[in-house]
Amino acid sequence: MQNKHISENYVDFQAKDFVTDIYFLQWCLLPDKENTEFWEEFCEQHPEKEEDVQRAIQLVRSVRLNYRLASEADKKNNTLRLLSFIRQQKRKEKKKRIYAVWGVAASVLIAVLFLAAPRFVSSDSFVASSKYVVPDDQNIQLTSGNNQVISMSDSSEIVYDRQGDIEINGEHHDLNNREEVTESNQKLVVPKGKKASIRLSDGTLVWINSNSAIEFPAVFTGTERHLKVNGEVYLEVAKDPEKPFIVSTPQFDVEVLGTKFGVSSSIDKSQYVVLVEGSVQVHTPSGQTSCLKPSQMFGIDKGGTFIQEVDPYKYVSWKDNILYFNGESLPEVLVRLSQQYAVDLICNINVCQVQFYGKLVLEEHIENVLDNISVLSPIKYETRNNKIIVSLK
Amino acid sequence: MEYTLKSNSLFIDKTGLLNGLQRGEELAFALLYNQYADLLYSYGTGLGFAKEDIEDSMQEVFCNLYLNHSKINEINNLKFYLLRALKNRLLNASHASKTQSFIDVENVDFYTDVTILDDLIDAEDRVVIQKKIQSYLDALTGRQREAIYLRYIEDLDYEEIAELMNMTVPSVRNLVFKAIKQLRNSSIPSLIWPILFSFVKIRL
Repeated sequence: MQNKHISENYVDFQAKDFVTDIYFLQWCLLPDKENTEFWEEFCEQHPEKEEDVQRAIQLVRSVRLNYRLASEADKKNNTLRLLSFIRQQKRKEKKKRIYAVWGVAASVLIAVLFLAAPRFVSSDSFVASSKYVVPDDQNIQLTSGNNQVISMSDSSEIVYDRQGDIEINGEHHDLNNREEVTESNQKLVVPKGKKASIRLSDGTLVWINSNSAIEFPAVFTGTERHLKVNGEVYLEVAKDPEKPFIVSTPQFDVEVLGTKFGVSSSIDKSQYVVLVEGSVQVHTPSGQTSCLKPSQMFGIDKGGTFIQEVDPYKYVSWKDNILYFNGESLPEVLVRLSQQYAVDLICNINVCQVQFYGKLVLEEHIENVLDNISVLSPIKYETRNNKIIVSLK
Repeated sequence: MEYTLKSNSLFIDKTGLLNGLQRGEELAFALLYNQYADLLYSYGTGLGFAKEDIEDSMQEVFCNLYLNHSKINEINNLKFYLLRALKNRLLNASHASKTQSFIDVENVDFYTDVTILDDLIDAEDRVVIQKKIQSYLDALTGRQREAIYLRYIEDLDYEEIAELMNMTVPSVRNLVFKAIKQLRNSSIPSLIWPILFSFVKIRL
């Protein structure tokens, strides 16, 4: 039956004929005892054909099915695609490793921060004597020289004119008894979740962040302009070479001549000065004086004082009602938010791998901000005992 | 990992490559991709997919391999692993895209076209031989073609073909065996033989 396929003309075959012969192909693909014997015998009997048979075997071996060569350009592109994926993964893996450590550190840090964070400016600080401590659902309070208190519920704009008269959100308030105008008789207390801006009588603009307070005269009468700060402020100081502007905080004093900078001195926030424009000198109680250039930050931590280069906008963007992030992890974002709103935020380690880029609008209530974050990232939150607990969705 | 560069081609020692892959080295993955790109592309073509789909699926296969690079030493045969992964990806992707209403995984038609690589043969003969072998293959079923392709072109063993084609080993053996024996049943040779012989005689 097999012999049916065996041609009688093999003696006349050339290599190319063998290649297309079924019996020959079968032997090449599926050699068995029978066909092997046949072809060996054939070669023995027709030694002149051996060369053709060998050539035919070569040809069969060179047969390819669906032979496709991806073009070199395609291969190169696809290889680069693969490599960029691998690099991206490697970066992610590296960050994951860092976060694993930092995640633990951060949650400890948050817990400590919140335990230590006072509800409001501490009672022995220069602004918040018990008289000014306002209940929990506080309004912004401006206390003028005659101890009259104006309460403002919304984030407000306050303007002092050259005579020390006050305008709040465009409304005139005749509070200051001219005879009583002295230095340091105006106090502004901004509770958590609120913000205020004020234009001092010399034209200096001050933005006061939540949970902060300032003290200042209705009119600067002396040879220096003095502003006391407890908390976080951003200043654009009006130039007046005759009267240096001095910002005093419990930890240090900042001396300026027309400049833009942010100051934070509150106990639960970091203590720093960030210079946006101009130049300032920072004096510490120990007698140390440091000169800052724009984009530099002077800070105080446990190890003492330091100066470093920073992106200043990050530290002052709160005045525009936004926080600005560039790859910060969730713990870092939550620390900022907890400072901003003076609430305790607790997050678990699992959520630490989320990174934040861009601007976060500071709404009046932290819940609204967290709602926004939870739309953009896989987190959720719940409120328990005045603490907000953030976890993965 | 060390590679030797010799006359424009990289000779990679296999264990060196595997170690590099295991450590997630970029070069190792680039080499692996280039080593198997043509072969995988060819198999994907046989399964009837378009170039872009095959390239996308290949990317997914290699990216996935990278994500699991620490377990690469558990793979016995990389070529088989890659072929299987590619086939699964391609079939899943076509299921998902719903462009093809239904693909029966068991009965994917497998297409083959024939190329003779030997370049000493003259163009005319090459075309004749290619057409002839093509006609033999066309007389087979899709599954027979796929089995023959995997056995003789990709050089997989029967166990691997069985897994790739979702069959038992004996039935794969049977399929290949039958396919080759069936070459005799092709009706074309009887028609072509006289022509071929006359051609041979003229040449003689």
